[in-house]
Amino acid sequence: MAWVHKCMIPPAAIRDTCAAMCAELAGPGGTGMFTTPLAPEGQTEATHYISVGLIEDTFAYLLDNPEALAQACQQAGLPVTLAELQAILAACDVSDDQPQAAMARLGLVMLGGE
Amino acid sequence: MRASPITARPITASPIAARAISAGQLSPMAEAILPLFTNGVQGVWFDPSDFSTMFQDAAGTTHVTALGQPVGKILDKSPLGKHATCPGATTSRPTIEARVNRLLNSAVTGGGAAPTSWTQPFATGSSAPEASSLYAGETAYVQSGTAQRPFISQDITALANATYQLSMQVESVTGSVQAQLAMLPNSALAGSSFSFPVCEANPSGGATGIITTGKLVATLTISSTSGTVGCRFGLGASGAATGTLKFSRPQVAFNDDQFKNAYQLVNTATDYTDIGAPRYLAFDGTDDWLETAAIDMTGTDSVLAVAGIRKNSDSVQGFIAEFSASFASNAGSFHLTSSLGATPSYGFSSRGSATGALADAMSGYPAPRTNVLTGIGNISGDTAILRVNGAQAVSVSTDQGTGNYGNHKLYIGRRGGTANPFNGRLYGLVIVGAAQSDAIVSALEKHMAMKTGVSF
Repeated sequence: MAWVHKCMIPPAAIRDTCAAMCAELAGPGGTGMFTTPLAPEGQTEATHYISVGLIEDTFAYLLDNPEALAQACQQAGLPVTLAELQAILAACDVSDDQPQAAMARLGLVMLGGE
Repeated sequence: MRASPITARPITASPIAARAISAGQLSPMAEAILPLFTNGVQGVWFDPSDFSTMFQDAAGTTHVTALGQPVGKILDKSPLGKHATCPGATTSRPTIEARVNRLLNSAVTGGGAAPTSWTQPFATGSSAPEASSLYAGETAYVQSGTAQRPFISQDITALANATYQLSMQVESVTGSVQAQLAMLPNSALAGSSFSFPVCEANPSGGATGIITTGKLVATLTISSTSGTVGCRFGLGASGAATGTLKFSRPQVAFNDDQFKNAYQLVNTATDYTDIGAPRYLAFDGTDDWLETAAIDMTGTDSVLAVAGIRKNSDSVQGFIAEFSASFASNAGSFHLTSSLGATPSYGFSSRGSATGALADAMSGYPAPRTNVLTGIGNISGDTAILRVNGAQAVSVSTDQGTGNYGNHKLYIGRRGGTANPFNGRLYGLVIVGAAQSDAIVSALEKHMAMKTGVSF
């Protein structure tokens, strides 16, 4: 198994959808994603969530290939169309960046610190 | 502090200890640490330098076999078997690292004019990969120009207040090429600075020193502003240059890394050579953590925690280790923290029934930095001591209430597995639920210093 570093930042509005898809497609290794809230500095309500780290290369491939992702969703019985998946991927920031670099690029900071 | 004799304690069998003993391979340090966990004394001992104790998955079915892999489970090397796992997604697992060179594709292979992971902003003059003259099987880069700029560049994410060493091997050079024309950061970060010490390839030193063959070294110091820095290697880095330069082995390393002068070949973030640098669990500061099953410390009101760490940032109060989901709401808890929000501090806290004592060293420890941290807690004695690199940093005697420590999970890298992520490295962690003598504390700190790559 090969691992690929990915930084994934979905908007808050589709966070639950993204988390559910990851859990459904990746099983235990994809369960519990997008638990860290982000927002522009000074705001207290999350506008985005982040998961960053190593994922299996097969799932990294899906992030770059909506058609393959749609096929995987279909096989998993997820009721989502290719157009919807393309819209979801377009709304998310997916990169090879380190989290600090990605957050800086998007003008976001972590919430929830004490 | 009460002394705790250990010499008469027998070593309790554990799978790891038994394996080592049967093979006659128990290290002197293991011989010293393992007896601390006998006679009912609870605790943990995590050693990321030992591949045999780590698994890529939380179930513990796929061993860690190489640097750059995720760690979903790390075995407790104490006889108590309080192994730590990450019950979250794969992205929440820390990775096992021994990374020195911050660059990617340091072999500058592929890509024609601009190698993979590199850019060639000006792309004037000529530029081509060529077999290294010095290192068999490695690639060098040959660049020529007449008042031109063929250099290649790679961005790194520079940490606030960090100092980096940039280096490369100049294999041959023609023309009078100044050091700053061969290697330079393109940094727009306010307050950052760059200097060229005297080195093999720059015998006169300074930015305008004329380079010769050998290792070229420069120092980049980042101010309190973090951000992206383009690191330029090759002809024309700071302006138009004339000549021919053949170079190899570009590297950007933390200046305080004891292995900064040893070249590390990096292909990708998860594929690089092991040059013997200390291994660590890398916590990304967003969602990585590990946790153990509950550890029953209800029989003691004393604890010793020793950790080797490097913190990358002070921006969030990062929890290196916390006994319970939250110190604030659980009696019989303690924790080690890497900062207090924006305060460049370290912290150790201990509590019984009362709110507890916060031994926070409030200044003098800005990130990034590498240290051995020791927390010593005693509830009935109202003791909370934080030691940094073997010396006491702060001691407080605030009332901790009554009772013993609890029967809690130990969270590593993130409060309760949900908040306050630690952004940094963990080189090792030993927690012992009993008071220990000064000699044992010192021995554990020296052991952790060796694992961490610091000296004191």
